[in-house]
Amino acid sequence: MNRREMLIRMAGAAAITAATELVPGVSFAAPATTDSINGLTWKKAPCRFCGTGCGLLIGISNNRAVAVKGDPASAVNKGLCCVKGYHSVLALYGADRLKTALIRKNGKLVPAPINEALDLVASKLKENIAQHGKDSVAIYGSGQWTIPDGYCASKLFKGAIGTNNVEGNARLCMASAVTGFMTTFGLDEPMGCYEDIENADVFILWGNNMAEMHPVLFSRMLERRQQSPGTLVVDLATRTTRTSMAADRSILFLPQTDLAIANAIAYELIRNNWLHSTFLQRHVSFHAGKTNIGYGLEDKFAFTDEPRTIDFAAYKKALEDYKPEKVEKLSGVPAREIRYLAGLYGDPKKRVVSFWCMGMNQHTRGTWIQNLVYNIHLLTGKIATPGNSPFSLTGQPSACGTVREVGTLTNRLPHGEVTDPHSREMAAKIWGVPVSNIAPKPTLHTVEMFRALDRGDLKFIWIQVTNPMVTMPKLKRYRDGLKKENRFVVVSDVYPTPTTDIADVVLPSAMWIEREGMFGNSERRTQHWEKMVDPPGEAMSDTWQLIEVARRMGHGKLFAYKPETHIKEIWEEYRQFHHGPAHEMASYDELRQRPGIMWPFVNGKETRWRYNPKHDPAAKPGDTHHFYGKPDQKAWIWFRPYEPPPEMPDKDYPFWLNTGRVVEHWHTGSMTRRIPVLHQAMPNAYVELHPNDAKRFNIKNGDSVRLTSRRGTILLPALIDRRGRPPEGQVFVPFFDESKLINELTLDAFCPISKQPDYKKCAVKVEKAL
Amino acid sequence: MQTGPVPIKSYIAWPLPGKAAELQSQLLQIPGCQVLPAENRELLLLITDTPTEPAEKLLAAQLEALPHIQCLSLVAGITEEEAA
Ligand code: SF4
Repeated sequence: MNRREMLIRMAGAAAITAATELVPGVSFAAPATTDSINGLTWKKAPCRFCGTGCGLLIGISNNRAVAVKGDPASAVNKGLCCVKGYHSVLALYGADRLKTALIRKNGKLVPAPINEALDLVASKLKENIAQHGKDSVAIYGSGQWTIPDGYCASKLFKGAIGTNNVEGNARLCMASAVTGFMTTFGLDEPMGCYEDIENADVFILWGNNMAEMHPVLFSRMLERRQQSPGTLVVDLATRTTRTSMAADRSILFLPQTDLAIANAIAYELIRNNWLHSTFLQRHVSFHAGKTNIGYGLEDKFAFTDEPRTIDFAAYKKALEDYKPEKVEKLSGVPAREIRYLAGLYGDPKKRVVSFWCMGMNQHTRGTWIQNLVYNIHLLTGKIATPGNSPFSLTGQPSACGTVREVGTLTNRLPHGEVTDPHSREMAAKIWGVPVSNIAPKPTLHTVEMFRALDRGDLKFIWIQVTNPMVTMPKLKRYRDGLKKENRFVVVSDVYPTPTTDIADVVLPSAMWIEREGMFGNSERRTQHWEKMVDPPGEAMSDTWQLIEVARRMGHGKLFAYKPETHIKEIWEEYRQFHHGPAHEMASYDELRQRPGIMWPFVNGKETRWRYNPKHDPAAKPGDTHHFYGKPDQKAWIWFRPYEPPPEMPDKDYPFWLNTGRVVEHWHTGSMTRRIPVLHQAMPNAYVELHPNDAKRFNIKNGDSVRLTSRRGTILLPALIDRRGRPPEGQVFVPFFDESKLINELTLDAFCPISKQPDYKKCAVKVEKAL
Repeated sequence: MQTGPVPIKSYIAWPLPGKAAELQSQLLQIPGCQVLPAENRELLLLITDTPTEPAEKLLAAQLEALPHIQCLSLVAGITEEEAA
């Protein structure tokens, strides 16, 4: 057998193993073959890219990652991976990897020893704090931070420096998911797990193109449908996508009207008495909040909700405004389709999973729409049991593990809110700082942080592992703001990006398996990986960069971790924050051994369904459910009305603009665009139009199209019926392409509760460019 | 940008109901495809081996055009030169 034949057998064996895990009992005629080949060793790691958190096995040879396969031992992906996952190791080896630090001198970024760059970062931090106060400096990371990265960032800024100016790209990605969980359940993160997929009869996807964004979970869902005839997948979306093509039913609604549709479903559930009355009586209370809550378009916008308790009768009465026929006019969804959806949720014999991600999160009423979908599951009692699950998926690999659990948002601490004295005391004790160091008020959320840089209230920002000069909405304002005099911008990254372009200091980062770390995925699963290969040049992990700067600032005692054991030390320190049955986390040694562990992890047992006393050690036994997150020990049903978005198509800007992702590229494409196969498969951004609109403007595939909003203009090639199809009067543009920055056009309106911007709706005009 | 040999890839191919045999015969006609059908389920494993990037592109287009595939799930990718 020659070498290539051997590799073919290896790839085949990996597929057999994956299929066997995915489809128990399946058999193949071919013999399995060995996975070891000339010194290639396989080590486990979670995928670098999306929040699904697939377990991968990385083949290492001579200090180089050379192969990838899905880890059959991972409960997440059972041996599968998607096109990004299996190409992931190539992202380490792009020709323009940052290997040395860069410092701006005379207007130009020039190479410098990393120690000089770290000295400069520490001295600029100290200088700004001395001159302008501790709230003049900030750190901005992301859900791609490993857990130790985020922990050290929080400890340095919130504990040592004493500012709550800590945010992350996750604010742009899943903040509404957090506020949705907090307002309904009092605790963050899903009650269910991916095993819900193998137990459900119906899947309703709320604005969630899973075929491209969560392809492995999508495969699991299709497998469930194949194994269990009668299983239904319903795609409820604003545009036809690959997900719609594979779904049993595709229902299109007009942007923002998901709020009204969810209320109409609740109306129908009540009208038909498809309610779980015992569940409602024992486990649910009813509430309403402020209305006409604004959009955050003005600087220093502030909002605080005022929840009030209502009764079932008041809730029922409020829903009278949402009769299906009325909602049909608003949403474009026929009343019979709304009744069909209500019938699926209301059928006591059907177990229902609702999946969502950016469609509901990036929404000026993001918190409300999460509340409304939870309402449907609560009215029917379809929650926290196998196959009954409202399931918020995340976009980034550790949005949950790092940003949400470590609390790298202005309002959060590793345990609880900064406003809570008990949480501040706990943080002060574990961090070894005086409690007075920890500021009791949130400061700047992401949009306001970049506004503060523009205004000059903020002087220094350290950006790690994210690319805001591609992702910020209404980009021009924030780019111009960062480029102003007397702003100092530090960027830690692995490749040059539009964000490193405007930096004063660039720190080269060690990427993924070039250092040790942990991620936490969408189903509360923490996954550890060890360092497998050396980083290039002077590249250093973001964790160690933070430690080095902390020491240079005089906080060495708080960051006295040893180079060889620092990840273990940090993990064991951090997990003290979560001691107790509601959030107990596995030890470092356990995490090293297993492909991933879901919390709460108590007495060696993972918790698959929270709030369910059969599974959850924190839930009181004796009942079917125990929602222990809220003071009344109940889940909250909220009445939330439909309110329109701040900007809608009009005669000057007659099209809706929707933005999003594509399967080939991860986020802003800074890694995946350096992988030739992925880059060639999707080399540039495009504008998707409905064929009738294209015809009207005489636009053909590939023609240059000018899109213009009130904030900017951009040229893009047209793509018609190649990947997705927006309805007439709408266009879609992906945001991965730094040479075609669609966020020049988007609006910086946000959900007043979560402060998460809406990238899915603004008004543009379309012209054929000549 | 990285360049190099085209990796060998393996996939699980889910045919449309009742179409496993047709899918298998269509796949076998595509150069660079090896197929391993499950003995007891409607499911195929596909291993692709293409010498150059244009050949790989052509193969991807051919796979995309197949009418009987419900879903193609990638499992592994191994590059010969790099594993050496
Ligand atoms: S990108 Fe997401 S779906 Fe694809 S392999 Fe990675 S974690 Fe899995």
